[in-house]
Amino acid sequence: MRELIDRAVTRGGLPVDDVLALLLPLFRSVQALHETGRVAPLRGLGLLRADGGDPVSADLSAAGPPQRNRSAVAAMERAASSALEVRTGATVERDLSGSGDPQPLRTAEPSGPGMVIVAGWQRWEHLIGHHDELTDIASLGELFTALACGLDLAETDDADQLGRHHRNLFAVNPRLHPVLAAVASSMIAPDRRQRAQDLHGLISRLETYRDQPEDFDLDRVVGVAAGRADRRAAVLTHLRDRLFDVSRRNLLLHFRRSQRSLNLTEASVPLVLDVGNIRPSQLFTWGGPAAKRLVEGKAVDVGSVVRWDDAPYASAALDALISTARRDRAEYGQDQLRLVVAFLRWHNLKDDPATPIFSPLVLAPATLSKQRGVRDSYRLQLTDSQAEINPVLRHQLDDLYGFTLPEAVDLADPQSIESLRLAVQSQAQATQPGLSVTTVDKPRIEIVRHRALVAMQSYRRRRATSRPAIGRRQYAYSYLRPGWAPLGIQIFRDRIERRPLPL
Amino acid sequence: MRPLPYHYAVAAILEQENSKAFASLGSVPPASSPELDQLLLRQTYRLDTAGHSDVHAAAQRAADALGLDVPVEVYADEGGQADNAELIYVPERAVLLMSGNTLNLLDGDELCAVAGHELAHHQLWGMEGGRFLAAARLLAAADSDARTPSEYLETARRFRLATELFADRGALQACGSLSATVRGLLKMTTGLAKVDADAYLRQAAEVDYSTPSSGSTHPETVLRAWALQQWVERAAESEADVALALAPQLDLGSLDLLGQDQLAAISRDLVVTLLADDALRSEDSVELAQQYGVTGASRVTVPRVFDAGMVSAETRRYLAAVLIDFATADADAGNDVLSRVIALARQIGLGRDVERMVGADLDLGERAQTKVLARAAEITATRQASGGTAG
Repeated sequence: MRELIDRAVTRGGLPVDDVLALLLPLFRSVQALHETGRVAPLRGLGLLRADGGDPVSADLSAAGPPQRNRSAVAAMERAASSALEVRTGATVERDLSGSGDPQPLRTAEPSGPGMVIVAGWQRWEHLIGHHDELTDIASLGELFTALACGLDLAETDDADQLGRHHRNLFAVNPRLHPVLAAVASSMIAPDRRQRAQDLHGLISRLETYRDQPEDFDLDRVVGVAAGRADRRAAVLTHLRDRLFDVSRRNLLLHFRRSQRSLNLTEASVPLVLDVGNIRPSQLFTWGGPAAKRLVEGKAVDVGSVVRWDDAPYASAALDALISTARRDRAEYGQDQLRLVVAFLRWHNLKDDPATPIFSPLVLAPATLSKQRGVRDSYRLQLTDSQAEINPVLRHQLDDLYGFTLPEAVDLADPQSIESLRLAVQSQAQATQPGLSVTTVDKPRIEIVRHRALVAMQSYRRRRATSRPAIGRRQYAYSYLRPGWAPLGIQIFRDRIERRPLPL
Repeated sequence: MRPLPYHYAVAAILEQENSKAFASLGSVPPASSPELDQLLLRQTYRLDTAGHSDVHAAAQRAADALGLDVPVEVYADEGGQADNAELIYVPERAVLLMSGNTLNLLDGDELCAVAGHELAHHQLWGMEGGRFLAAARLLAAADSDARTPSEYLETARRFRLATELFADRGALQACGSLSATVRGLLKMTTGLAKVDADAYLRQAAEVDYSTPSSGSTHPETVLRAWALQQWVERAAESEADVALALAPQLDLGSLDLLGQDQLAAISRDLVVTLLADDALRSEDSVELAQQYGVTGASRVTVPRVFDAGMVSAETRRYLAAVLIDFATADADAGNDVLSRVIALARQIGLGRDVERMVGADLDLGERAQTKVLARAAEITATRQASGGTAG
């Protein structure tokens, strides 16, 4: 057993998964003992064995019934108890924006005189002749902490260090997993009333620590950011970064078609039978005349780009966008309506290299309004020619690859997208020279047409009405009274009477 | 060589309805601009008369045959694109741009045919004060705007197709040989170095053009070869058949401007036929007729019969809807009016469509429906009897 402790000390703590493999069997056997009303002989290391790579085991033949000295324990607890719990008995002046270590002005013994972590692989309860299940939990906790943090608790120095930092084990080992640190702290709490009570629960937490959510720990952040000048900035940055949702649910990272968005390029495809008849100028892409008008701050009639016949879902989608934006403005004071000027198709080479990720890259704040008329018209306008770079993507690329992208680009500069591409490419090539980033500004008509077709078909399927389509359009008609709205005249007006060219 | 009837018809409609835009597009032909020259010099290889005498000889032969007296320039595109030949329209000269492997593939006659095709475009754009060019430009401009009603898009498509057929005739006129023209066409579209024109013409003759699926009439090579053969064999007499192959049916789903006019006329005739029956001429139905644009008491003596080959299923449904409009226009009219409309529908070949709508859209009980249909049969019988005695 000494060997194992020495190895942990020289290596500054064993890897946590090794520690768990070594100790969990012992935890379980101690739990089994507790269930039979006995306690484990965990005072000192004498009865513990760890041969080779085998898990640590205890000589359970020495297990016996608990020894209780309730009056002594009660006396200790009474001495420490008061109406207020003094968590650290010291006055500390902490300058959050400064970088120096907090200076304790007056140090007092925490948690009362006797309830401390004592050296010699034993608990303070042992010293007053008390040994029960809670004592065993503390023993196991100390064993775990010692191996994970590389402490030899036979040494007074190490025991004192643990005593000072038993609430923040990151101070001893900053690489400790937060969930494990929390479990260990709760096990070794000197105050029995704050110590974890349930060994079974502790074991299952240790077994599944990777699946558990981490709690935010300020000490840890500040510890990591010790080198930085401004603690406040470090804390705020960390807090902000925690807010980024990088899961697949986040459409800003993993974009997919939804009711909350409308792909104007797809909605502008004329669904003719022969792809060869579609010309790129018919499609709405960034760089065309409509985009030019938008950049100049003028309003664009959405009807001039969207083909209502071929994208019957477009008007409903635009209505939904308008009402969401209006509600957001009323409730939050601003809306989230954005025109995506460019998407980035990229791969997370570290976690999932095979799956392409399609994220909006350049987001231009826009307003959308509806003008009622015999035929409703929608007007799209950019509020600012400054477009932001998708902050979630910016954070994720920084997190993964260390890319720094600008926060915004000026769309009035025709080279803005190209320079953004160059920025991404040059940073990517810094570590992988073979990598290239290309701009797709010419629509791939066949693909876009296919997507538009799929979108229209799924729309049709979604709202399969009994009302049949005549000449690819649907009419609201009824021959019953009241509400007589004949069909023939509607078709005549819509399809046969000549309408002027929109020139 | 004259443009196709379709060219004349479309240009006439566009000029009449959009006279201002039409005039402005037709009157200002794009002058040869220094930008175009610079672009060509930068991005293409100019085939010199001395260095490429064979190419120029073929092109000049085509120009002479078409009676085109402008200088012909030939350029080869640098970008590795598909085989193609293209005319860049400048009024005072003919700029031919060849791309891909075109010049290597074609022999003298075929090159003459291909050059003739492109020069025929030049000829067409210059005809009649540039009105066909104006029409093409107007349609192309409309094509790019999503607000453009679908009939203009369909017209643009058919106009392009008709233009290709016109240019094919130019190719034929230039080289004087149907076989060489079809070979040139085939080599350009397939990229093969060896093709058999006669076999392809036999293939083209086997295709049934009378009932093509509506909408899929984009310029298929086989249709172009067939149309050219018709032109060689029957000259102007073939126009009607060619037009039919281009637009097989009157289809509500893909109407062009001409089809729209045609269907509007059919609708009005139908309304007039309906109102000719005194029992149907109520105040409400006269008002409805006005919405269809029927005002005077014009009379159609012989109602038109719609057969399935000429009119698409959707168009028939529309016409049936027009009939039902009038059958239900008068709220107080009884089912007798409906029976009379059904009788008329049976007479003009829309009986099945109208009966289907009566079953689906009118809230008649089964018994009432049977009664109405029986009454309609009675009316038909009476009419036939009276028609029989009159005849």
